[in-house]
Amino acid sequence: MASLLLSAAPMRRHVGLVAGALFLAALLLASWFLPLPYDPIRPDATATLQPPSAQHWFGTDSVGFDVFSRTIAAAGRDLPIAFGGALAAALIGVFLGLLATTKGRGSALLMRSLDAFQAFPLLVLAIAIVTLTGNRLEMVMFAIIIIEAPRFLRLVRAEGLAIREARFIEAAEVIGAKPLRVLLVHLLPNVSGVIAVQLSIATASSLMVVAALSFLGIGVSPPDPSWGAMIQAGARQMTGGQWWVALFPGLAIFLVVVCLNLVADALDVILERSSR
Amino acid sequence: MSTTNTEAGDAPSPASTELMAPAVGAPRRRRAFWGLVAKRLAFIPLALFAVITISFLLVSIMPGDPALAILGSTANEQEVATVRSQLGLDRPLAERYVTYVGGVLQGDFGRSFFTGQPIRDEIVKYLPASIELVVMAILLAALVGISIGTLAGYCRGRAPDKAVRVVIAGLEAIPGFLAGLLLIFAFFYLWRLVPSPTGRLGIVNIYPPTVTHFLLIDLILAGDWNGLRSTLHRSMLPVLTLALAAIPLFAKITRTTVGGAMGSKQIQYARACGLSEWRVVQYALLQARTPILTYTAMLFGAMVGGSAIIETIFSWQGLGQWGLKAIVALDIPAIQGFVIVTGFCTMLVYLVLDLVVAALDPRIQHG
Amino acid sequence: MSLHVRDIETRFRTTAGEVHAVNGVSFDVGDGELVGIVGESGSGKSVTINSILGLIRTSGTITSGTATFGGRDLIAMRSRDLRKIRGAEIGFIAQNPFGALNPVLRLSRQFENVVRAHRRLDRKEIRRQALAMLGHVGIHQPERVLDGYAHELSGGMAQRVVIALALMLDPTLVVADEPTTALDVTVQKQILDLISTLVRERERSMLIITHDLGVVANYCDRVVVMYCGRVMEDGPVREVFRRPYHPYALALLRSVPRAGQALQTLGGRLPKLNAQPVGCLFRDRCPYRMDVCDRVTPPLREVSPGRKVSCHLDVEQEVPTLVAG
Ligand SMILES: Nc1ncnc2c1ncn2[C@@H]1O[C@H](COP(=O)(O)OP(=O)(O)O)[C@@H](O)[C@H]1O
Ligand SMILES: [Mg+2]
Repeated sequence: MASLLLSAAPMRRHVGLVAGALFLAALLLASWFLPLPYDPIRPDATATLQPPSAQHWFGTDSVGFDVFSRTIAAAGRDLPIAFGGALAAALIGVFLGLLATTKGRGSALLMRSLDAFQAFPLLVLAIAIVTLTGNRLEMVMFAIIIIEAPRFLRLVRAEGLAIREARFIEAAEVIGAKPLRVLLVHLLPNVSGVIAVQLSIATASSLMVVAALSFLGIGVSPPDPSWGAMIQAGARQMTGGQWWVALFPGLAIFLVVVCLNLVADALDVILERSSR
Repeated sequence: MSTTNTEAGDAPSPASTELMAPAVGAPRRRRAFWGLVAKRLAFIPLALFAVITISFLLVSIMPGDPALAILGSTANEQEVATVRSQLGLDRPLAERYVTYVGGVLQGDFGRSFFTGQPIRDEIVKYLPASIELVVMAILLAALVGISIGTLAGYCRGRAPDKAVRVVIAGLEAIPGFLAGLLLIFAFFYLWRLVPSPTGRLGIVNIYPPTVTHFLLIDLILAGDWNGLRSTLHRSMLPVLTLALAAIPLFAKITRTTVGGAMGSKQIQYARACGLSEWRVVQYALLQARTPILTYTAMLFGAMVGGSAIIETIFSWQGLGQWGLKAIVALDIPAIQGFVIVTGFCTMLVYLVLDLVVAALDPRIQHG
Repeated sequence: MSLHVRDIETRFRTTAGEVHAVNGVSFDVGDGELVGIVGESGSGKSVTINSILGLIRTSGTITSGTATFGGRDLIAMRSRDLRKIRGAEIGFIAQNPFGALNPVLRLSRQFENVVRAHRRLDRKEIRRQALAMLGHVGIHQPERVLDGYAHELSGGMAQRVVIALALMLDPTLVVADEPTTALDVTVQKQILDLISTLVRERERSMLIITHDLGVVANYCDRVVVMYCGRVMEDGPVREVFRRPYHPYALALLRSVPRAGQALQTLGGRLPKLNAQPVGCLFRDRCPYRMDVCDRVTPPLREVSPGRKVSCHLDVEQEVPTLVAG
């Protein structure tokens, strides 16, 4: 039944999923394994601010870095941080979210604190935390967790509460299933669909956070390539007309985020279809 | 929220109330509303307290030593100890906490490590500019976002909806600072439509006498219309940049709620009564009003973070730019002040919008 | 004014395919006549009247049919012109007043909006008329009600307000879609008495949709029995109740409904309406099923003056009379 409905889902959605995932995989693999035309961390001081050409496809920046090589290389750094942060946020958020579906004071208190916490300008908090703790990469992940985990928590709790309404959980509890077992065996598999969708969305928004931080010079150690830092390097050139320095890394962020959202949309449609 | 249920499941009231007068009169409702206001006001000290605590903990229990972060890893123990005592980090946690909270409550945020200025003065100087930026951006974003969201929700599934969804998806994927740079390139470098992105007032204009610290208001008070025009001209790009980030959020929530409302019994009934489509859209927007306002409150926190970066790009000279500078320079008292002020402002907006929602919706029982 | 509905077909596009909700419905509402449409929930009653009133939106289409009202075809009419008829010439009474009335606008504003959609009157005049109309529908403190909100009213009061709104512009036809289903049983009779009295004393026509046979028996002149988006039987209430011709109508009446009691669903389920229906749609539940029922859609034919049935049987001979019990 499920597979039948799945095949009835519009092909367009599958195209979105496949295209999005392929682009992301290709970018990541290219940055790890493909030989780049120039060394992404060694500038050529004789070729600064060259416009895009056959030698330098995306041009060069004011120090003489090849923008193309650095744009590709940065994918190998930014994407794993964004995904890793989102994944960690998912683990924590899902765990707390499942716990919050249980009745009791604790879960009410948790939701209240979450309200107050999320009312806070979290990006500001993240920037402060990363800087104050010495600008380390792990702390960028921590910042992502702070921003993204509450979203997972809310989502899983909402879905979990809806599923708890369904009979079989009650039945399991009546025949004496341990609460933890109920959470892990009965609830978790049923919320895995929405978690997958949210993970894709969270990776996109984490990438934005990583980019914002590294744009401010936070959490990066030059000359390691990072899209946000590259845009920062091109910021001054924008008023001088050298658009390529900032545009290409920006385009990379744009495409990756669009792909991640495509994947999320497609997963949403496909998973929702098959669960009906 | 304690709204009364209006859906089909609404239990019919017993026959005995059939001939009774309306249950709740207007005066009672008004009194109850002021009760809610009082309750929310009572919540403010709590919010303030929470914000101060977060900002304190930020420096106190985070892994890593702020003193070391300030001095760099080459510092010797002597220097680290000096800075630690300057920061008060050598005293016990509880004592530091009490001192800090006490100071802040008296308006004493300490002095900047670098300029030596009282943090409070800096906040008073820079906060109004940020407020002006965020308010203008939110207004613009609300106008555009709600308009296109309504269009999409009204035409759900048809061409205008699809176009709006593409716009939303596109805007969502552009980081705010990149949008700012692209706008600078197009409007300043290519087309020369706006002045250079350096500050709020042109070089030829002089700052008006400070009355409210809000530049726009001070210019109006001083009657300096040229200056006002120049400032507004220079505000266009930063406001647009910040608004671009918020437009998709307004558009999405409006599209969803208006789209849902269009299929509701209420709208079908409005049409059955022969109301015009304009009126029907107005009814749908009335239904969407509460979710949009609630969402605006949540958006505000994100706007404050986003505006810090945009202010830096455009040299806006607001609290965000000041705060980011402080963060990069590890000016700890300034960072703490920045976190407290931004956090408190967002919580305040949250409370105010909550009250606005309550005031606008006659169904909410203020209890 | 009279309404003549012919061969209306309405479909919906859904993710699970097409739904043929209405499959060729015809009936008439004569001048000053009260007509009841009965049928199980899901039989397409609401979709039928929504089609007539132009309230079918994006996901649905009316694929054929006409609805002639005062010489004009409502189905073919431009939506702008139809809008002017709705509310002014055809009054509408919704099922659930709390779902229909705007919860955040004062009722006085809602009266103004409805009147101003059709007439140019000033606020004072509208208020005067609204107060008078609220008095007619039995509201004792019209001033207070008008200046309040819908949620402050009881269900019965709110429905009275909806009735007042429907009659504000003195329509010649009133359409009521299950006007009392959402109400308390004790209030239902008051509301139905009120509606029928108001309509009769103004000599207006009315189309009332219900799944309650008791309502039809007590208030209507004629009854239209619907099933799966088709009319099964159509005739004067007295005659149909005394001697139903269609096996479905017979089954309905045998389930002994009393006033205020919802129709009991018969054994079996409504067939799925995913494809263009062929043959009689009641055949799966019909005790008199014949081969021809699978292949040929029975037309709605006049059996005796004023009585129409869509059945292949020679109904006067082959369908047993209803035994009272
Ligand atoms: N907007 C819609 N989209 C899809 N199907 C619909 C829609 N509205 C009604 N239907 C279908 O049309 C059929 C008739 O519905 P309706 O006219 O509401 O029945 P009732 O006789 O209870 O008023 C039902 O099977 C319903 O599922
Ligand atoms: Mg219905």
